[in-house]
Amino acid sequence: MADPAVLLVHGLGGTQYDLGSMHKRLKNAGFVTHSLALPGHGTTPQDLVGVRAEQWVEAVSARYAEVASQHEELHLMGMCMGALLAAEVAKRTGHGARGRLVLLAPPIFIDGWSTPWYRFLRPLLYRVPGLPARMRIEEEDPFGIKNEQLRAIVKAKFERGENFHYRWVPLACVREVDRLRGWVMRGLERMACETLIVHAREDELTSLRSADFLVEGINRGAPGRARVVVLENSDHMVAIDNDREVVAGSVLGFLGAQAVAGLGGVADDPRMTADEQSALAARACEALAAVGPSGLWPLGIPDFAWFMPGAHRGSGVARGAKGLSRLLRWGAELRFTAFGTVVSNAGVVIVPTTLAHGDLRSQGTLALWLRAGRLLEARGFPDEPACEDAHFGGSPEPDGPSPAERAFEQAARDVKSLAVPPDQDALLELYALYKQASVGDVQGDRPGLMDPVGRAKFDAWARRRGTTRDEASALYVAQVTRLKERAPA
Amino acid sequence: MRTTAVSGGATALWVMADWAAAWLLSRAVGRVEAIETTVFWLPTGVALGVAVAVAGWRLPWVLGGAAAAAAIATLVDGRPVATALGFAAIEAAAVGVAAWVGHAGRDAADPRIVWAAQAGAAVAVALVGATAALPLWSAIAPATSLAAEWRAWAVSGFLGALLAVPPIVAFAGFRAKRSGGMGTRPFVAGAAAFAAFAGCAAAIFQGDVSDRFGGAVGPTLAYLPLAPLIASAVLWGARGGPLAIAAGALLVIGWTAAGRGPFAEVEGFAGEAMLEVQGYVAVAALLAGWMLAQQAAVAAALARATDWQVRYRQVLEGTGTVAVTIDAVGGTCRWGERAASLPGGAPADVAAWIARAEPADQPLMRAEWAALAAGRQPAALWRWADAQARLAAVRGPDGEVELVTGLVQRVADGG
Repeated sequence: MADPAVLLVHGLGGTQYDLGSMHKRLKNAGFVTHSLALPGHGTTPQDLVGVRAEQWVEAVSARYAEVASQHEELHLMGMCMGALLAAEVAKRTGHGARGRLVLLAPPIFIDGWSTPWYRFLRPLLYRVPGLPARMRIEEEDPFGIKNEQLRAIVKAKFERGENFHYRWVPLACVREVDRLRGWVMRGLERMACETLIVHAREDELTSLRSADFLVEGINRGAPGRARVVVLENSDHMVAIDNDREVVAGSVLGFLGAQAVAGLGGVADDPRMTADEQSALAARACEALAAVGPSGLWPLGIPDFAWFMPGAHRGSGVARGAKGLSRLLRWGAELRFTAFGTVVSNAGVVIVPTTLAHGDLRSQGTLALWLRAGRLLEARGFPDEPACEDAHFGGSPEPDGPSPAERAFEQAARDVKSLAVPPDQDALLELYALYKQASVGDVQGDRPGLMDPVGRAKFDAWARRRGTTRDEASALYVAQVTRLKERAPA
Repeated sequence: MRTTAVSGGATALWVMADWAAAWLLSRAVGRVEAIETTVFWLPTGVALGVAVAVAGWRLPWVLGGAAAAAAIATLVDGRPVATALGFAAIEAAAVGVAAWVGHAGRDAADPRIVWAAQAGAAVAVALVGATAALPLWSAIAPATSLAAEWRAWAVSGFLGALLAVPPIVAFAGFRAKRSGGMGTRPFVAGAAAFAAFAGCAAAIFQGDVSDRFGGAVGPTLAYLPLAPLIASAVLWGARGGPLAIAAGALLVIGWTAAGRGPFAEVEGFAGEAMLEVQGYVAVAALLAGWMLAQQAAVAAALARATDWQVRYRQVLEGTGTVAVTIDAVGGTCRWGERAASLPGGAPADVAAWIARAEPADQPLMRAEWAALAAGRQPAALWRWADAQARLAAVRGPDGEVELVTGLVQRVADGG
């Protein structure tokens, strides 16, 4: 499979919840994500008793081999104990040619500021017959989370008994983590892959010494192979805590999924030949000429971003599906013409062009970031931004949804709690307006006779064909407002 | 039922073992042979600690275990069975009554009440035990001074309970944690303070203090070790603190009972040193206990405040609401968090706020504000093009409106 993949490994007693929104962020950046439930996980903590570190390593190795057989490019990423497992598997498999390694809060040393002082006693306790299997190490406040609101949410999830993380793990399991730590600490210089370590300065479980140890060990084999990002506003659970955006940005940048990430090694390998880059640039130019910037979205990753320069109503970044919707509201008529010679360099393509809109003809340059056959982002550099400002007028929209978008989102929430349930016709009308406002003209095939409900919905949506998104959004809000005003009989 | 009996039986055996260990410790450390008595009586305190810590259904098993242990210890001392049964009954009664006192405050939200209940239980076990033992003493040792016997029993029993109950109750809820327990730094700091106490106490109590520091200064140094001892207790917190006090007390009692240190230097009457060291340890335990309770109360208050803050923020952020309080006299606004997100930012006073409304609405809003501030109207709902505010008057103790509070929502945010 041409799409790059990432194998994500959760931590001890955890699930993929440990990794926060990384799956979603990676998918939006064009990666296929894979995961696994480690042996002893996903059921009850008692099932961890008897599980050996070898079983965890074998499980990750097997999953790695399976995913590696499906993808040419495969990155490994782990959180906490998952980071130790990812590092160990990367070492054992010689991972490097296929992709990179991301280690989130790897606990090489259990020496964080909030780890209990009696942690030094555990080697003695391991030797007491029967105790490691019976003694529980509990997951307690602060749960590795600095953000108090998130902590309250996690606490509530524990109180509800949700199975997103074990409430405790047996001491026997901690012994296995200690064994795993020992394996990882040995032979780091043999690591063959580019490695990113993300670690919080105030990690309450494992201090920055862990990150330093790994970086020094890996770089002993090849200087510069490992680098570290230090977070200043998180505890141990870095992927869900205050710095989660920094984590996501650093990881995406390290994996080459963001054009600018400030890590120095970004886009140095676009994973495309020069011909492939030229071909993709040509298709982008065709799309820009035919339908404008919106034509770049099908060629890009899900989070493709269009950067409009200047200080007018369209300035700013339009990212992902919402960004496209915003762009179409004001810039559906934008076109680009008069493309000059395309120049490419390590995943970045520069092409001189002219922006056409009404009577505006603004000469400038477009820069496109490419990777693995997809566009990451596009930025315009007009020769005279003031001309575009004067032509488009207005001022940049602030970040976040516009008032109309907020009203639409609120209406979509309100419709779920109407005092008087709408009748069938009103429901179909609401459905049609919602789809028209959020997706646009009807898409897909009309359902068959055996699916009368789907058919009725499709027909209702189709009747709205040609209605602009703004109109549909306003009609939807008005319809919901009318329904809200109806009093119960 | 069978499981309960097995579990209860195990509790009773556990209490018997603890009682026996404490008995041996009391005799080894606190026995003053010259007056044939013990400075502190730990076994009953240990039984009381367990009785306060356990769930109510286990209490009979704890009392049974303590009574059996007391009976066995009496028999080991060479006394007849009837006497052993008498002491067993006194043990069960004293621990039972005191446990009731301890249980009354055990689950209180205020740690100071919890500590007061424990101290009260220590008083109860001492008074009940000493008083109930009087008939028995008069029967088995008619020549003994009952007043002296009552005082010795009560004081040593109180001291034993004061030292044993807090650490047992504190450690009853102990669970090993991945993180969130006492970190290495406070532990090391507490250990350093305890080492300072031990060194200081050894210098003063483990020998003739007058020889070491001179007859004028030496005896006055007795209370010097208390400072590092209490410091270590405070640094070690709710669990380690009581343990530090108990360990420190055992050291000082042991040295004094062996006839060393400032208290043993001059014996005005038989048992004076014992009384002095009892007072010394009681002061240390009560002082440290109260400080630890205060410390825990501050921590609990901080936790409650954080909980409130988190919930308050969740509600306000979730509903897109900003809180405001307005001075009813001057109209000055005091805005809560996220006020900058309001359309046009946060106005400084109510006049500027009203000026943002539709011109046609402003006269009514001014009239409503005047009515709110004057107390003629309890509440109001104001609307702007993009926001709405619910306002309510807050009256002072004299009935006059002092403040007007409000919750402001962007219309698009929260409807």
